[in-house]
Amino acid sequence: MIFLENRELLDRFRRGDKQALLETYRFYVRDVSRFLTRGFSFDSDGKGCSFRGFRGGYEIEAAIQEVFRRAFEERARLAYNGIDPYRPYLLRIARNAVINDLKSRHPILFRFRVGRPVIIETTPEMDIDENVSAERTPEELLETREVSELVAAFKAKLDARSLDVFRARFEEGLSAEEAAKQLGLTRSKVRTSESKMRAAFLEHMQRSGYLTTYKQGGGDATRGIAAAMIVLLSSWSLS
Amino acid sequence: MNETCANGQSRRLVDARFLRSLDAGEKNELEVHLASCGSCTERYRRLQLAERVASIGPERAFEEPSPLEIERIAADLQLLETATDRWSWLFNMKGAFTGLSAAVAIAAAIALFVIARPPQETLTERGGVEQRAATFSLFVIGADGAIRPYAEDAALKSSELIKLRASWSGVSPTHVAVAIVDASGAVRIAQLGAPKGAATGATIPGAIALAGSSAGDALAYVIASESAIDENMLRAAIAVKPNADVLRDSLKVLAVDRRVLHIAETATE
Repeated sequence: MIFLENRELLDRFRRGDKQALLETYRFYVRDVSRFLTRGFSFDSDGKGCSFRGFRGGYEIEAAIQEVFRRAFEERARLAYNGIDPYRPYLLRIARNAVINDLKSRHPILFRFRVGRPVIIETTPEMDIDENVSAERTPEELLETREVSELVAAFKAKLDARSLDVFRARFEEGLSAEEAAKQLGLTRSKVRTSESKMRAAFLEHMQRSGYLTTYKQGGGDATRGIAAAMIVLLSSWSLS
Repeated sequence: MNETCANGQSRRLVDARFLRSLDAGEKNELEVHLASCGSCTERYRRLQLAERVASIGPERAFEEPSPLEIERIAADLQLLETATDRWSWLFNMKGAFTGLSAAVAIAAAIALFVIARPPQETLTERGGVEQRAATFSLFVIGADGAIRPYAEDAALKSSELIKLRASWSGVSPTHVAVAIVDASGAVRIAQLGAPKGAATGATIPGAIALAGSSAGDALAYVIASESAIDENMLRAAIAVKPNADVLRDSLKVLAVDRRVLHIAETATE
């Protein structure tokens, strides 16, 4: 709704002003991420289909980037009428990006699959705009619980300043300048502290075994893509 | 710590993505690797989940990006200036110090920093610039065989062919490739022969067919290199439709020229 309340921002957005694009991106990025993760239903050649959503990893980052890259192209910016809410317009771009990529012989978004193929299911009649809430599997819920415990163990070892920097940068998402101002530190000290903390966090997760030995999953991305193509080619008539 | 993945390649860039900003070349290299390595894509997923859980908690971690992830994607979209961007003018000067000793080169770099003038301008005044550039002229071969210069706003037919003529200074390309990303995202790559002719310009052997391209605006990248161009790396790099400078740096080639081709109609196949 930011454009309806701020016409000046809309004008700058239409002109391609970088600050306006950044503000728009920050406002809607979580919506786009949720949409792409939860998946959606769509119609293809008269058949109801369901895309199960991205499952994290680099593919979701690449997909979010691709959606906003398309939304911020001049044609897309100027095609938005400035009257209807922007969120549905943006999510339609996301939806079309995914559907087009599913049909493409040279997919961009699905290059980074973590083993599992893209599952397109024919579904009973569903509302075409329904955004299905993807259920978490027991394995996924267990994994987040394990990761939570590892994170808590890491944070328990941080000294007071490191914990403040952690909260400001990791949790609140403040820029280094904003964090420095809030904490009464120099930007350089915040950067140094953050840099050490990131390296320590990586080391902690590595030593815990989570990054290497926890759950033998994943598989070969190329096999995943090949499997995806088989699913698509066998169930679709490519027009 | 084991620094290599199951495929025997370095995990350095996977981890680096969570530690610092990657430059365009590193990001492309990372993407090319992740597109073919299940072990590293899984490692990336776990690191991302750990970062999300640490930042926004387990309930939201599956669906929402962390603040640092939001910042990374914003940088990928070139909406933020990264630390690499701030110093890129210094790193890009390395080709301009031909003929100078290393000590003088370092002193010159420091002097430029102190003076805070655009480095290219200063180097030009001192006569130290080695201009390295390649540009391309496009010609269109019609279905009837007639050749005409390509006009930027003109529409092309998919039955036509594109012919190149290159001009260069300070470089000697031995390999030229053309990559076209059409409106549907399909990629085609043509490796053309080495330019033959005068030392500063020549017609590139071969021509590029547009048959099969979707109607609409296509992006054409013309790449000049001193060595063979890795087609897989090129395909991965142009999938995100980078600008010419980013592609040049990521592929480490001599020059890249990027054009928009307006393809008006598709031929039936």
